[in-house]
Amino acid sequence: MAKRKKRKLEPPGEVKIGVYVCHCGHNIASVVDVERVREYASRLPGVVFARTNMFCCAEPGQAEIQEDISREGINRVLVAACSPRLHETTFRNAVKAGGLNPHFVEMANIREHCSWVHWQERERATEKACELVAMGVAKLRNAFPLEDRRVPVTRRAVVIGGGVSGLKAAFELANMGHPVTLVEKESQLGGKAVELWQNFDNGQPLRCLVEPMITAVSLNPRTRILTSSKVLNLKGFIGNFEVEIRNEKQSIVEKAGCIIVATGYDFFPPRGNPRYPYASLKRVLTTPELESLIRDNFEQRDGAYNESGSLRYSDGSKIKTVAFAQCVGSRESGDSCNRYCSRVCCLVTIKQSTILAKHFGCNVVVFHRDIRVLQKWHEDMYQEARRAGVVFIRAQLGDVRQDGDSLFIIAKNEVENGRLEYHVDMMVLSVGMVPARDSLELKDVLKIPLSDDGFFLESHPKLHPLETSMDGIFLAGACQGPKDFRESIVTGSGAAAKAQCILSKEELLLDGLVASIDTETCIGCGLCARECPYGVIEMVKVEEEVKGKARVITAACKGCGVCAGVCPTGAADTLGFHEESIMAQIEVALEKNAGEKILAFCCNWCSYAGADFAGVSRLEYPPSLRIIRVMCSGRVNERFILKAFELGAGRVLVAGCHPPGDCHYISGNISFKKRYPKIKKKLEKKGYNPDHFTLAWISATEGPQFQKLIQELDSGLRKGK
Amino acid sequence: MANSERCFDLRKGDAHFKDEVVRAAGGETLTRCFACGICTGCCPVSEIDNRFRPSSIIQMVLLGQREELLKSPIIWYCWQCYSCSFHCPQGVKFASVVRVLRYMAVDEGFVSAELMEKLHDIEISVRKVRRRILDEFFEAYEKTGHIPDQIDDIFEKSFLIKDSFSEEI
Repeated sequence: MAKRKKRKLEPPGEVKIGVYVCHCGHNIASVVDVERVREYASRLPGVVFARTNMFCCAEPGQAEIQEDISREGINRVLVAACSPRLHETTFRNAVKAGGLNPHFVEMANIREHCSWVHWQERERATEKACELVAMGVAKLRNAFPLEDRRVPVTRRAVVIGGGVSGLKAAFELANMGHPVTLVEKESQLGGKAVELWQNFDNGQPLRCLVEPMITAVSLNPRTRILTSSKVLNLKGFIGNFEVEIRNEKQSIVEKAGCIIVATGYDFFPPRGNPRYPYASLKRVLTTPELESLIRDNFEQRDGAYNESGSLRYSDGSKIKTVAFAQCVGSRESGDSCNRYCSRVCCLVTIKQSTILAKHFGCNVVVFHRDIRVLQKWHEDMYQEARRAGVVFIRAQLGDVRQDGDSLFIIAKNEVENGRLEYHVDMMVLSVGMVPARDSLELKDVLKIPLSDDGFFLESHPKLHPLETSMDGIFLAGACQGPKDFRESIVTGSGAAAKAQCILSKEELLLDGLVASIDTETCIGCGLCARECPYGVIEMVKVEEEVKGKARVITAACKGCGVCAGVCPTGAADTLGFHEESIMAQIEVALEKNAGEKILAFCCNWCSYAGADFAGVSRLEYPPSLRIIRVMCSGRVNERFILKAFELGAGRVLVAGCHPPGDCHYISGNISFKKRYPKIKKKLEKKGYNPDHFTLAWISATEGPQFQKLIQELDSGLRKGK
Repeated sequence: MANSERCFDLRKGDAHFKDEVVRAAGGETLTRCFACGICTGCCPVSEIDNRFRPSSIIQMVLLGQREELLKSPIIWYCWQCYSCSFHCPQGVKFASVVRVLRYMAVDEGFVSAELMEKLHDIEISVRKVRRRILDEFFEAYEKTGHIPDQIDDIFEKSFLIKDSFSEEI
């Protein structure tokens, strides 16, 4: 290990800590001897006093803390209560209102990680609670004040993709008064919608809906439209992006405060797919192809909608019987198909089959697995199709063969429990949606992740469906997953509203939990710059130094601490979770009976939350566990592990989010996974048993798995293996 | 007769067949069917004879298989208990639909009116046999004080009283 110089960040002034031990009604006090914890805490170094409170989070509890700050002069606050994931913000705000830096609060989680999981072992639970408080106090003694970052905003936006959702987003933003650049790879705006004929909600031609949007966006003086253009490169961060756009004629760099990605979808291509060998047969069409065929037929009739006549195939022959096959490319296992439901194909089929039955007198059969309709009025459409005589058959398609001009279909009918054969004139494959072809390229340019199915990944499926893991880049429309016209419009408006939250401000306030790199101890190895999931560490040339020094673009930093995790010298560190404070926690946690303890580093988003969930579910596990919270498993440096074993830890555990996709910071978990075998080797070299060091993936819902993991580690520890 | 492998030539199907059924008194509910199969699941006839399946018959109507269906004996196997109609989540009255099919079969000459009458007689006779079996069963029970375990004997006995049985018809 390289020699570490003493860092310059010293906690300012005399440390005066006030400790508040919460009863949480009976939630804590019925298991943990709160009074004993209070007494123990009051004797810890740096602690001025310790109090108990029935409910610290309630208004009187918060008021007490604020009073103590002004009357007793305490300058740090430790609240021993519930999970910081629940009330850290509450207490940060409380001390801030009391006049302290909000980062001078620490929480000892003696509820989710103690009283709720050790309710049958009161004595050991109380001991653990005391140690958790001591760990918190140790962290507080090393805390220093953090300041919010102020970032100026370029009040312009770039929208990538000129389909329905992109048009809507650009239209809304321009109307809010922001200059918008709309980048479209095709030569015209409108996207997939203008290729199709009718919308399925009311049968209105899609062109009638899209054209006015194109006109409105084009005529707005605040929009700049770049067709046949591609985004080639992206630099910068929230509020300050630089987007390089190129078309045949020119290359442009647009500055923008935020970016909306609306690159849409493609149709699933069944031809050439081994799952659908019959897709290439004559008279087998896809739903978009049938859409064109129907449009052509109506145009030949001069648009006379009600005049009945036969449907004519492109070669002029009459089509009387049509079979639809649902879920083509969707809801299948295996590499050649998609796992997901494409959400729109059922309705496309309902719309098209109703037209065929009503206006062309066709005999229509739909082979399906289930019919899924989503909007409240869609059920009526399904009923109408059935009234019009469309026959819906729950069946599995077997083989389809050409039989002269017609098709011969073999299907296994689930209800009839038999193999049935059908002869039809034409077959339609109801194809699903797949991610747009160039999303892979764009993903690398924008550095935003894709989900397993290849669509862009939202930062949270329920709470943040329009955001990406990159601040300031939003998603609209089907680039995030299959959506219909209406949902594309909704998400387009939504993304514009999210963008407005940034563009409406002159400057942004971002929290102070960021990485910092000490230039004196930085040896210029560049490891942090390579590992940073956001690519926001740059190597800068410094006089007389060959390798240069790493520098964090603070405004773009998300505070995961992967840089600090990989840094060989400790030059890179994360404010709020800096090395000294974590080392101090390790020391305190392992002060007594280290060999009987499991020391765990849990990432804030998944594993710590998973441990919380075990608590909420009252899933018992042995009290030998001590958890140190880090923002990301990638922040865990090998020095922590070595230190823990040096102090005689029985077991050491690092727990993070499931790779690859679950990490809150794109790939911090993978960064640690790469280091894991190396750390094991190093442990072996130093004479520690590498099997005592474990890496595990625990998601926020995996309370039972977390319980099992700790039980296993503890039983291994007891057997002395 | 329906069996596990059937072929529907939809090109020869009669698209108006289902419309005619819907227009006839009793056939109105036909197109509500969404093919869940509950009718077959609760049908006492299907239970002992899987050649008869209400859902299958509905599907044949919808697919326009007029001739195959109307000339098939299968439409005469319905017991008219209306169990399917009570269970149907979509309110399809299959028992009424099948009556429409029976009348159509007669009207269109697939079946003679005479045959239809005979089939009606058979239904009545079956009910009478059922009544007789139950009579015999309870008589035996009352006499011996035990639940009769030789059901076959009772069956045989009931069928043997043939003369009076025919008379009643």
